[in-house]
Amino acid sequence: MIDLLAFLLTVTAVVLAVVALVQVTRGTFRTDRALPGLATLEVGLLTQAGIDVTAWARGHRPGEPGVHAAYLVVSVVLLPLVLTQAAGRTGRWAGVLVGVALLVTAVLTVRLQTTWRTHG
Amino acid sequence: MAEVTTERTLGAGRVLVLVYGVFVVAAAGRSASQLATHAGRAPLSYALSALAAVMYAAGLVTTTLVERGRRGRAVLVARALAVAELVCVLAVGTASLVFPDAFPDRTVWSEYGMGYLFVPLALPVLVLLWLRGSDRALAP
Repeated sequence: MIDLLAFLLTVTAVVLAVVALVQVTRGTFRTDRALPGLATLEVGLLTQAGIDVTAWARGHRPGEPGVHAAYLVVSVVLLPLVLTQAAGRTGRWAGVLVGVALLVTAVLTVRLQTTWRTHG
Repeated sequence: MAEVTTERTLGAGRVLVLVYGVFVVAAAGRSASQLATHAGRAPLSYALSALAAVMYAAGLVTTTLVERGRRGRAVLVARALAVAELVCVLAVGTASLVFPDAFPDRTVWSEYGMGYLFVPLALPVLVLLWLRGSDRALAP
């Protein structure tokens, strides 16, 4: 995994989450306006997953392989899944859903780094 | 004439379903990995993480049912599960502080879920508040 990419993904996810949640409090959140940011983040997450799987195939063994694999799948699937729920919906909870998903994505990215490292 | 719109609103329940889903993966992944690789190191911790995974999976199912409009027994079961979840977080959280030697490795509920930003403690409380709100919304 690339530390810089993971850092950028974490920061991007947190910034987008803060923007979404601030828009929720102001009543201005719209899922369609959040789409470009979410799509960019998803591209980064897919790139990270590709690098991860390639390194794994080349012999790297994560410290916690089961947890790492589970987090990796969720990190890629989460945002598209949430978008299928929030797209075309109004109300503050659509924004909260997107915001929470982005915060979860940030935490998952950090946890992916932790579980990637080999023990000892 | 009122403007016709196809947009629908989304409820708080959908956010709770998302959080439950994430915790099913986190707790199941954690316990499965630990039990598969070094089950003997901290069996109590790993068993509690497995229990957490089962309870979160049950919470995911009942919350989804209530969120989709099921009432009656689904609400009762969801409420009972949330209370059980809260009791477990408080009991394990307290035990992990009072008897730290019994928990060589952390569980999802250790120190009241501090490793997960206390979301395990907040989640059942939020579910109970949400279920209460749902009841009020349906009251005549």
